[in-house]
Amino acid sequence: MIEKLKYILYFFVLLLVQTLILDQICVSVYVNAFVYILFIMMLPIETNKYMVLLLGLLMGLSVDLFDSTLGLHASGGVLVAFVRSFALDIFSPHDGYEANKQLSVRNYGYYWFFKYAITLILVHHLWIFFFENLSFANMLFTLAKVVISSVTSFVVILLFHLLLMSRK
Amino acid sequence: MRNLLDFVVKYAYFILFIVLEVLCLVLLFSANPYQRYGFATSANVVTGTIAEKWAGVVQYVALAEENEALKKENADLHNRLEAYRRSSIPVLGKKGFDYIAASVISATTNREKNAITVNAGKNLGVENEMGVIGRDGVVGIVSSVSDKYAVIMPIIHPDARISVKLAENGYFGSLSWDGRDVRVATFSEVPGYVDVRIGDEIVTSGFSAIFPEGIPVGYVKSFEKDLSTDFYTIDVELYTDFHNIKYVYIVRNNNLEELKASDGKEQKKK
Repeated sequence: MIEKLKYILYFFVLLLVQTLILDQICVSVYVNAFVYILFIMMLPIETNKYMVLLLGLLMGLSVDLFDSTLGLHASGGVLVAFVRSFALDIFSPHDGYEANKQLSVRNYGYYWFFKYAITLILVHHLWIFFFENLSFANMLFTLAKVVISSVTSFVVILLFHLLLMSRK
Repeated sequence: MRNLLDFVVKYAYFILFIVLEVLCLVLLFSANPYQRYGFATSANVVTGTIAEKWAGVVQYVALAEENEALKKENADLHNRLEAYRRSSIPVLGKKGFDYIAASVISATTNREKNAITVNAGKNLGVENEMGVIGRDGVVGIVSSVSDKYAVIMPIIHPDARISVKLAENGYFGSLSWDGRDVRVATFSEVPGYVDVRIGDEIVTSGFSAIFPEGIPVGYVKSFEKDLSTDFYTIDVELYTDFHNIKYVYIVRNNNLEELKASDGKEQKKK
């Protein structure tokens, strides 16, 4: 129960950090940080995968409501939730994951976190920036945005992960 | 039937994923930006209230700076009013325009599809497709409204089109944005025989009835002539600094009802 409350808290903290702080900061069109997907990434390993899809949808829709981008982040959230189960399989540690052990740097190390997080971030950013722009004519511009924003997002995601979730 | 059931059970996860994605993308592409209901955008009560409260906290820090800017704008308006009194320009339209002041409570400006949320809605007479201007020039057009809040589609949104002209000689065209630079928009449809110079001012044309005529938009930063079509593509440096936008004025055209009514009549005659 406490565990569940903790994740509900993460949901709101990440949603508000995303929409009230990160989305209001303007550096350049190339630099966008998306921290909200951290919530989907870090859901407990034993979470039902259908539930993960629905939570991805819920998180994305909530961001959309704040940003007036109905459907965009909802679709991105669902995609990250879908890819998550495959990424977890691919990057599974030697002895597998343990139930009740949080998916975190503290439990599985920085290298694992980097591989897992950067995969989901790249998939998400490619999707979001492609659907925002919806043309192949600007592919180079879109790719540049994906790369630069992915690096930014990774840094912010690692920061909030360490701050919120990777503690005793 | 049995096979179908087996199939559904086997691929349920994948099917749910596809169904949700299709739903999301239908939402994304079906929404006409000017017909969005307030509750489906940042104008809804929940996000609007949260953003407004938060903006109150953040803006408190910048109050002194904002006051200074407002004082300057006030002085400028006094000067213009004085000049207007002395001149004898006839008032355009019988009823003219009203300006509704609003504070920005949330603004995304480094996305492709940017949005600005302000704390004025139907309660103050804001309606869809009204023009929005700021201290320095045109900001955008209202794209959805709820009771207390409105969302503005800024010039820096790929669907925004604003009718503008060269202040010097009145040649007009439309202003659009390609998503690259928050300070620069594209002015197209100006014929190649027009004399365009760097630094020429671009203002609203007044043709669309959304904006009064002559509101500053920006100035010519660079231009290029397309030899095959003989039209200019002009890069316009925008006056409005979208990274630093605190308050706006929503423009209400009081002649709009009459204009629409007379339009209807003319179309009936045809």
